[in-house]
Amino acid sequence: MNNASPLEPPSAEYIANVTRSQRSLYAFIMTLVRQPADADDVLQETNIILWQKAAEYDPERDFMPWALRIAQFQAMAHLKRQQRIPKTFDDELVKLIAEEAIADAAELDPRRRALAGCLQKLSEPQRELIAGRYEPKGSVNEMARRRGSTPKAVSESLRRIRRVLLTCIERTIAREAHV
Amino acid sequence: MTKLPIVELDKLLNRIVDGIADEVDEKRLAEFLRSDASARRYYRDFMALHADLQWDYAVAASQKPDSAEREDDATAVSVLLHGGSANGNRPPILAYAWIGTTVVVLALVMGSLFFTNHDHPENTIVELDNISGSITWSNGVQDRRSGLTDGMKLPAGTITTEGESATVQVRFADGTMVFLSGKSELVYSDDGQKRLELRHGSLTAGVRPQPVDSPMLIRTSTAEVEVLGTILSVLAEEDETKVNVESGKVLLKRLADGRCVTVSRNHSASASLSTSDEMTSRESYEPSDRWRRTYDTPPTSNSKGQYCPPNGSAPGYVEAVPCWAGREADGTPIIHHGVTARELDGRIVKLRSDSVFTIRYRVDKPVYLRVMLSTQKPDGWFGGNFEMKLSSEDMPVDADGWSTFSIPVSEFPPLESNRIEYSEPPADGYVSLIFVATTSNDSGLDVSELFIASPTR
Repeated sequence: MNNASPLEPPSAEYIANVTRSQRSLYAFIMTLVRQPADADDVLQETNIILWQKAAEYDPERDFMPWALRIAQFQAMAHLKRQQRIPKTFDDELVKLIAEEAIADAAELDPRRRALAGCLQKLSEPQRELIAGRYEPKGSVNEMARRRGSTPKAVSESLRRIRRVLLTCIERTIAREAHV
Repeated sequence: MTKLPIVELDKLLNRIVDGIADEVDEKRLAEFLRSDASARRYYRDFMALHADLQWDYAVAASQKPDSAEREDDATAVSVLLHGGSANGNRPPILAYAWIGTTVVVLALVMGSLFFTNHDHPENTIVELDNISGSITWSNGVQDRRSGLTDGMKLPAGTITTEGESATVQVRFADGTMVFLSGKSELVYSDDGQKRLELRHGSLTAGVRPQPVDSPMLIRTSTAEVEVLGTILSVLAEEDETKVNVESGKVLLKRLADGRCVTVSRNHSASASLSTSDEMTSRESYEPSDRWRRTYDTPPTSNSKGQYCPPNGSAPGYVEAVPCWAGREADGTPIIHHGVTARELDGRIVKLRSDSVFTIRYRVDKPVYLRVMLSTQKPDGWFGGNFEMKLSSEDMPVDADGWSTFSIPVSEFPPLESNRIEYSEPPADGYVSLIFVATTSNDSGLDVSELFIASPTR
């Protein structure tokens, strides 16, 4: 167990663990709640709990699965409050996805590193489309309006680019595994 | 519940993350995720990608100067809550995303200004000719120019051709010519020795005899070529350089270990990043006059398009991807959606006077298709681009949604009608690139077969 009392600030190592885990927590949360705005909220709530529970953390254990478990509970609580579970994923499915994601958590960092290289391999038109979608306030509706197209057509273009990125990530990881 | 093909799952997920899915989509996704572990795996990978892109662009936006509000919140707690500014490990693409936006804006502004030649005649070292499509020049610092025209004289710098149909010929004072086509970037200088750096793309060069102690040097990311006087072509990819010599002789050096090979007339060689690959010169590939590309197996790595393998009785095909098609007068990029077909050795097929081009394709809605053939003359020099436009509505559609169109290559009009030397496809020449695109927004263009052959042979 962390020797810090609940009233003492967490150790530097704990803070470093929390800081390093932000992206992975966000990706995990997004898998469960799917909307970026919801993922932002749940990440904030998770960080508050991580801060409050610092004294309970056992440094002998892996930090990531512990943090992901906290994020899972916050995500499910958030979905319940939003009353979205009955419409899309039920409790059981969210738990199943979360369990499998926690088991595969170690794969997130290599995939993220691979993504950086894969983005650079996109053509400029492809990067422009991705930027248009993922920059803040970007949406397929807005992109469609600017281009005189339809949201469906824009989403289809994005689908192909996402497939290219996913394939590139898989190949990069496979290549690195054989080095 | 049967397994959902990954392509269908992929389409479903894209509609959901882009906010255009309906309740039926949501329910379908939930049902399949419940029953299929591989679908859940794909879902997690897909959502992780979506989250990473969301995160990266949000962090890049928060680094912009006008994000002062977010920067002011940089307390320890806020670092934990927002996360982004605590993570200094920002990949290079993020710096590019913000800086690149600024550069593009500046380039658009500068590109729309009327160009005046500020260069002293004695500083210019090349003259441009055969310009087609979108070409830009920069001196690598602040001076950047578009709207280039034939006859323009320029000092040392960087020439970039944008789009598959873009071409430019760069002529040095001694008559040495370098021809760029497709999407290429060339840095050049001449201080008594011509030095070229082909950052990516392909060039063909007709090199006048050079001083023995100052051969022309062509450098790529993996190789260096010394040229004393010859006609050659160089194709620079990220991890390999291919050189083909039509006449004369060049020395090809692999940068990874300094190994060299002499490449003579009608021979070719390549230099990659791998030092275990043999470096040998071999006779240049001479294609036949009959060529067919189906997509039962993936296309060559230098072809463009998103590959979809065969599925049961359905054929393999490639989906169109965004491609540069040039720039508007105000510098706004024009993006079409298309596929390209190339062969690794540069030449696809030998042309005969009666060669016929055939394409099997499908689209989601009525649209005009551009089909462009880029050609080479028998001596390897550029032979012209030829383009046909056809309306998808004029073609009958089979039960699976595919249409087939055939036309003699000789009936393709030249892309540049004012160039008499490129007024018709070169007899006994070659096709080096096939580019098929829709001219407007993405119309779901898929191509399942390309075929060029002489019907009498």
